[in-house]
Amino acid sequence: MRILLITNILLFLISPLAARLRVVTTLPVFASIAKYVGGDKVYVAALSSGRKNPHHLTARPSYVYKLARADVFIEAGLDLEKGWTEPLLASAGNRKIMKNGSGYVVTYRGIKILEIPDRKVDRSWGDIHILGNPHYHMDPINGIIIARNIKNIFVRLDLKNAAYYNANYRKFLREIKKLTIYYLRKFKPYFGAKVVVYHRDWVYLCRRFRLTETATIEEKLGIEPSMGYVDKLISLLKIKKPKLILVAPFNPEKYARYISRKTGVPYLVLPTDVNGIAGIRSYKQMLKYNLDKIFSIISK
Amino acid sequence: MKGKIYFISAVLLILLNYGYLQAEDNFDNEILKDLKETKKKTSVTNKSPVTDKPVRSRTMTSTLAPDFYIALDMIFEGGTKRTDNAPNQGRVREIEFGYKANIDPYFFGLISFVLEFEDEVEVHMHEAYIRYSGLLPGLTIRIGKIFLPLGILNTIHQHDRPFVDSPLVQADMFGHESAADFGLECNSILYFLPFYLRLNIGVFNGKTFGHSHLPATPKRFPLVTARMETFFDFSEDIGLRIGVNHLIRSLDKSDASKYHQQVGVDMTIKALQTKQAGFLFLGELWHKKHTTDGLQKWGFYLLAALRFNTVYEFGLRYDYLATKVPAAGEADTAITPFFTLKPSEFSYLRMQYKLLNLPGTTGREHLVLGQVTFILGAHPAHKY
Repeated sequence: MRILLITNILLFLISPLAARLRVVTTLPVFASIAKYVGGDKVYVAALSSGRKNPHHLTARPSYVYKLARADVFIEAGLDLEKGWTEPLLASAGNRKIMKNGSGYVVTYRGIKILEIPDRKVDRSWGDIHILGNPHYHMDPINGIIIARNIKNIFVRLDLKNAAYYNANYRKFLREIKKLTIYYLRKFKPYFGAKVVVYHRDWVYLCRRFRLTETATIEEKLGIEPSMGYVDKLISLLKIKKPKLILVAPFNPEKYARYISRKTGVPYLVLPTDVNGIAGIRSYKQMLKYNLDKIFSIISK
Repeated sequence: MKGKIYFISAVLLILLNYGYLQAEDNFDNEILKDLKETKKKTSVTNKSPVTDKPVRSRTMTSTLAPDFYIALDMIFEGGTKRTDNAPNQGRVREIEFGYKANIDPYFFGLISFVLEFEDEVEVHMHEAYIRYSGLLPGLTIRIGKIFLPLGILNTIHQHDRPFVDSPLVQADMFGHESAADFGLECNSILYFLPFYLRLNIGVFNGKTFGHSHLPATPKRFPLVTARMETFFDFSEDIGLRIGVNHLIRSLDKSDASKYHQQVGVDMTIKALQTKQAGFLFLGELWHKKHTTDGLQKWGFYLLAALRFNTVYEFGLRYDYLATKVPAAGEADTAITPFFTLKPSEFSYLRMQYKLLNLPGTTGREHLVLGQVTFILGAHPAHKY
């Protein structure tokens, strides 16, 4: 009798969860968007915390556990998470989220991918992404397209709640569009302002807000620069006079600090993902935080 | 005159405002245009059941091409005594070639073969298997020649291990290179449990054992492996994986009581911070017995490594291997500090010192080992 009672309580507790779509994303930024679009009809979990470099994560067994139970798996693709999602998907044994499965979402569909190599490349260029720059979520308009891709899969898998997902998506679109236009107007007098980036994860944001990337601190993609290169960069920056250096929290800060000291160009450590720094809990919050911080420097 | 000035000012004001409004509209139009273009693409691809539409790179000839890689592993072994442990020479230890890709919507395939340079150049099949997922939720099946799914090191290619040589217990119980055999492996994540638990059962030919290239001999029953693994996720930075392993293999073609049994436990602790600096601790404890001659051995290795960032790592390993039956006196031991320089994910250089003590044979030896390894082609997997 007691066992029956406990079973019933457990069933009661898990039933709302079981009815919802289980969504697993590689990055918290996709989780944030998926939560917005899916609302209370989905259960969303991100594998990464947002504090670590998405290129370098390892396939933790706990990730496999989450993926084994997922209905939807959302990733950036373009080889960003290749090192760790392939072994995870192989171990999870979940057909729904395999690359040809009904619940697999790659969020770049429909997005204009930048920096696709236009010549023969090899590893002497560093850890180059042969399919193009995968940090496209940094452009808010791409965020809308990501939301649309996520919404489409939710609608396909859960047709009875299609109106709900569509309404949430439209609300997201309106909010992000409004935010983008607001910041574009704010940035307008400073269009063309020069910035230096540590890694090329700021390309999409710079393109949208017309910031000119003067230089990259990484000499080769994914590889820390040599001091010889950093010294050359300092000489260049003294001539080019950029306004700002952008660094992600997981990048080594010491190079930006050194360059900043030598050139007087301020640097900012800004999140490239939700939860990238404490207090950034949503995609919109991340965009606002980054754009406000950048504006505060370039408008000086 | 005054009226004209007012009129011109008013026109200018209107024009300026119009220009400003136009500029504002441009942002709106720009966004609408970006969204419209993508909407068109999305609505087309939505009709396809294939969700991963590859982006066409100008450098890619075909997106159907399998992932291909070559790993070259060069080592140097030097020492104070002229024994087999330290031949005082550098050599190419192995070159591994591998292809992997989805075969069709159901199966994944991998083929890897290796050129080994010991006394002469030999070509061996390392792994060649087909994998199927989704027969039941959380279940993955592999059929073919695979590394026996036991412990930590046995599933890792020699050149991918965090040190140059094999620990004494690994070399004795599996061979210097990972033990592989032809068979069937069922790997299941028990996803309905509230915690991570993985079960792995394998049935293999068992006619040879270890990284053996000797002719196969018939056996009474196949080699059977079992592994159970769990993981404790303390935080995103710290995780602990524990595995228990069992292997049984017949040693005779008619007598079922003659067998080789091996049991082991393994543990991995990783504590890596945001910038990949951190601590790695791993170890394996194994016991084996042969019922034919009563041989019993046990041993372990423990490794602690400090990672300063993605490039530099310093580690220390302790090996222990003892013979229980027949009693052979003092155990074999080794203390091995090593330093790894990993400029990128595709190359690394390693230096290792080894204080080896084999009381039953060569006694105490000081060895210096070096390793240069590089990978061409496909991006290596970041396994835990």
